[in-house]
Parts: sequence; C-alpha cells; structure tokens
Amino acid sequence: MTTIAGPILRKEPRSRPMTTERPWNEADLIAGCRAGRRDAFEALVLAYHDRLHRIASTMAGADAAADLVQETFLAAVEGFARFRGDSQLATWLISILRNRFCLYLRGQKKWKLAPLPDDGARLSSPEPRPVERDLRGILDQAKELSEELRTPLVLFHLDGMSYADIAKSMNCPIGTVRSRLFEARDRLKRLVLKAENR
Amino acid sequence: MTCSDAREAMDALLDGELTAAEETEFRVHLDACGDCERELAELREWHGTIGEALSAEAPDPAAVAESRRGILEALGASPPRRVPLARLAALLAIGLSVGVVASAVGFSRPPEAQVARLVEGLKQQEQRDAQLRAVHQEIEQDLAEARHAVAGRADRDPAARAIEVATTNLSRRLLQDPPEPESSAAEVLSITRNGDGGTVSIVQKDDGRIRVQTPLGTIEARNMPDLLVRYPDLCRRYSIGGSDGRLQMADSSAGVDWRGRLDLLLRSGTWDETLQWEAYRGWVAGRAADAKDIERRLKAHQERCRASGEPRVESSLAIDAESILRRVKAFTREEVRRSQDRLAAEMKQLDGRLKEAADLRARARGLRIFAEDIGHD
Repeated sequence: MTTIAGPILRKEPRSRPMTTERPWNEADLIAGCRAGRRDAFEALVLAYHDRLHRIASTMAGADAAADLVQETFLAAVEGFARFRGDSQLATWLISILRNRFCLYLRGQKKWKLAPLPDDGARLSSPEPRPVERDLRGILDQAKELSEELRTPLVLFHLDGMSYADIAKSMNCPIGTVRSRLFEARDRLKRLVLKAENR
Repeated sequence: MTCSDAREAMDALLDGELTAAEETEFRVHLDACGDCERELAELREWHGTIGEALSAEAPDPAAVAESRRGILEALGASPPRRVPLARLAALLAIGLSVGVVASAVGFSRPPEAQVARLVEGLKQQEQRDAQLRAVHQEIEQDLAEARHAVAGRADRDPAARAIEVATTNLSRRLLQDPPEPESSAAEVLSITRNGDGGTVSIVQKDDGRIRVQTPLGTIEARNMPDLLVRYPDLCRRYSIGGSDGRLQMADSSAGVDWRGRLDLLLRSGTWDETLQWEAYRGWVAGRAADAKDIERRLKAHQERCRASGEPRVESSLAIDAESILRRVKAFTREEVRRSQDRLAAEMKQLDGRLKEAADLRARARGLRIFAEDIGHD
C-alpha cells in the first residue's frame, strides 16, 4: 500500500512581492503606460524589474541580464499600443524577455565585442557568489540546454509559472510546454551524469 | 493506467498540472506498483534539485538595483531608442579598461597593419549600425504615414483595413516581438474525415492558427506554412496541404472567399508583397473601367514604389574614429586577433539584418503609397 502524504503533489504558488511605492492595479498600470504616463512606466519597472532580472540572470548569466531587461522594458514601452490585455502583463513582459534572449543567443547584439582577459578576471561584473559545487554543476549544465528547453525549465522551477502561463509566454500549446519540460529535465540529468563521469 | 502511462504522467503530477481525475487514476496505479513508486520518489528528488540549483545563484543585489535605476533614468529622460547610446559608451569603457589591463601586464604589441585593419573594420561596423537605425526610422515613418492616410476608414473600406493590419504586422516584425497569444479565436474553416483508425480533423481559426486532431493526439501551428514545415510526416500521412484560407485533406477541401483569405493571411503573418499587389489590384478593380486600365494603374503604382525605394538618408551618426583608434591601440596582439574574428562574424550578421531591413523598407514604402492612393481616392 502506498501512501502519498498530504498535498505534496500540488505545488503551492509562490508569492511575488510587488515593490511599487504606490498601489497600482494591472488595468490602471496598462492604461497609464498606454497613455505614456511616466509614473506608470516607473511603477511598471518597480513592479516587474527584479523578477525579470532574476529570470534573465539565470537564463543568460549575470553579465547579460541588465542589458536583456533594459531591452525588454524599452520594447514594452514602444509596444504598449499593441498590448490588448488578453494575457497578463507579466506573461507579456516575459514573452518579450524571451524574444530578446533568443536574439542575444543568436549573437545579433554587439555588446560582446570587447575582448576579456584570458585569466578570468572579469572587469564588468563581480565574481558570482559561491554556490555549492554540485548545484553549480547543474546550473552550468542547464546553460548548455537549448533555449527552447532552458526557458520553460527556468520559468517553471525558478519563477513558479504554471504550464498555461509558460505556454502564453512562449507562444506555444500547453502540451508543448509539458513535453519540453520533460525533455529538459531528462537531458539535464544526462548532461550532469556525463559531466560527473568525466 | 499502465506503467508507461504513469511514467508519462509523473512530471505533470509533480508539477501540479494533472487534473483531479488524472491524479486519482495515477494514485490507484501507484498503490499497486512499487516500481513506479520508486521512480516517482527519484523524480521528485531530481525536480527538487533542479529548483534548488536554478535558485542557488541569486543576482548581486547591488547589480539589480543599478540595473533598475538605469532603466528608470532612461525612461524618464527621453523617448526610448532602439540602441541606447549608453550601451555604446559602456562598450567603449569596457574596451578601454581591457586595454589598460593589457598594457599593464605587458602583452605583446600587435603589428600596425593589423591595428589599422581592425580600426577600419570597427568604423565600418559603426557605420552599418547607424545605417540600420536610419532604415528602421524610415520604416517607422512610412508605417506611421500609411496608418495616418487611412485613419478612420478601416470600418468601411476593406483595403484600408488591410493596410491597417499589414502595418501592424510589419511593426511587429521590425520589433521582432512575438505576437500576443490569442485566447478566444473563432473557427473559420474545418475539415473532418473518418478512416485510418479514427477521426482526423483540421481546423483553422480566425487568427490563422491551425489545429489538427488525430487518433494519436492534437497538434497546433501558427499558420499553414508553419504546420507543413514543422509536421511534414503528419501532413504526408493524412494528405494535408493547402495554404492559409484554403485547406485540403485527401480529396476534401475547404476555403473562404478572397476577403476572408486576405484577413487570414494578414493575421497569420503569411502576407507578402505579391499579395499586396493582389489587394491593390482588387481595390483598383472596383474603380477602373477595364482590365487594361487596372493593369496600367497597378504598373504605375509599382513604378512609384520602385522609384521611391532608394534610401532617403544615409548615416546621420558621426563616428568617433579617434576613440576607436585609442581603444584598439591599447589591445594586445591576441586581443586584436580575437576582436577581428568577432568583428567578421558580427559584420556578417549585421549585413543580414540590413538586407532584411531593406526588404521591410520596400514593403513599408509600398504600403505607404498604397495607403496614400486610397486616402486620396
């Protein structure tokens, strides 16, 4: 007889603190941004910046995160007229971030031109904080996954998004999210095992 | 439920994405299967480890705050620009810093000719980048003028509506943003057939999306070309073909009228220049007396588009050649070589983007002229 204790199979939604100085509901925020109001844009950045930065940092690394998030907000400000409100603001912003990340991966941006010294002394960002060796290995291998697999993995495990929201952000059916997550975890496991056996 | 079904459901179960009924079915199987129970425990542990690993490296709070402050400042200062000058400044700053470090540790100096080549390459790159921005500005201007010319007419004039939708699609392509997901698109076309072990149906919705349901499962694609490219085997198996607005499955077919098809082509993003001429021909046909007149007006319009297709502006950005020279002169031999390699790759990409931008510009220009014709009619 197997017993599954309690509701462990149902994941608890993670709380996402809003850091705006004054309360904005989403509809007001959208209307304000569409009208080009500076206070609305500020509230948008305060509300979503840290979350996007965290995702960008995990997907692309600390060096590229700030640029990706900046690009995302610039594109959002330019494109607000086209946002119809069918999806949540956060989902829409993450879909733009993902798009910028794809461009970044395709190497269409110029910010990687300046050469860095071979000895690893990074001039543009501080050293990453120490992370347990095993977890570091998994994190490094996750960055070897293709964008299509890495993005749902990060959005699910780091940000706690549902399949439906990931599907909207990635503009694909929910079934695709499910299969990509399966493949991402499976492939990651194989990459980690391979690295350990080296 | 078999062990194979259970294994397929495990990920979704742990992710909290199974329905209550599916979960109940899974639990019943688990009660009777020790292998699946063990596998589930291992998988649960692996999921936890992944979550822990991805969350392990939190960004430096100072860097996050600095990024947030930078964006707030940029938003407050002026309308956003596609390539913020701050990035160019940062690029130069990084370059200079690297140069200083390289000099300090005494790496070997590169030959003058190599430095000169790199400087020339970097100047050309800045020039192309400026050209790209200028072309993008031109496109945005043409699209804005096209929208203005047909403003308020979309409800009563299908050609004006076509222009409105086409300008939106071109703007999207310019920004390279994904289209917003549609939540409640209605079906416009469908074919259902029985055979080969079950029912197969293909449906196109009014946002252009295609859904194919087979006994093996359901798939979705953005539009018909997307379906044919991504699922060639399935299309071959069920003899699915056609284009947006004209579906085929074996000997069955379904289609919408020209206007409906135009709508689908625009919404699904498969609109192209040929179709623009078709739209124009359709519009002229309602106003010209005979076929010759229609073709004459069409040719005149194409001629005007071609004549105005040349770039109006070259680069308006002054290149700071001195700064580039200073930066490169501080490089070591190895850094010059690596920069040269990267530059070659980036120039290739930049050329591709310029080519794509030129294509977009021609289409935006054609749309503007088309819109002006309609606006003056």
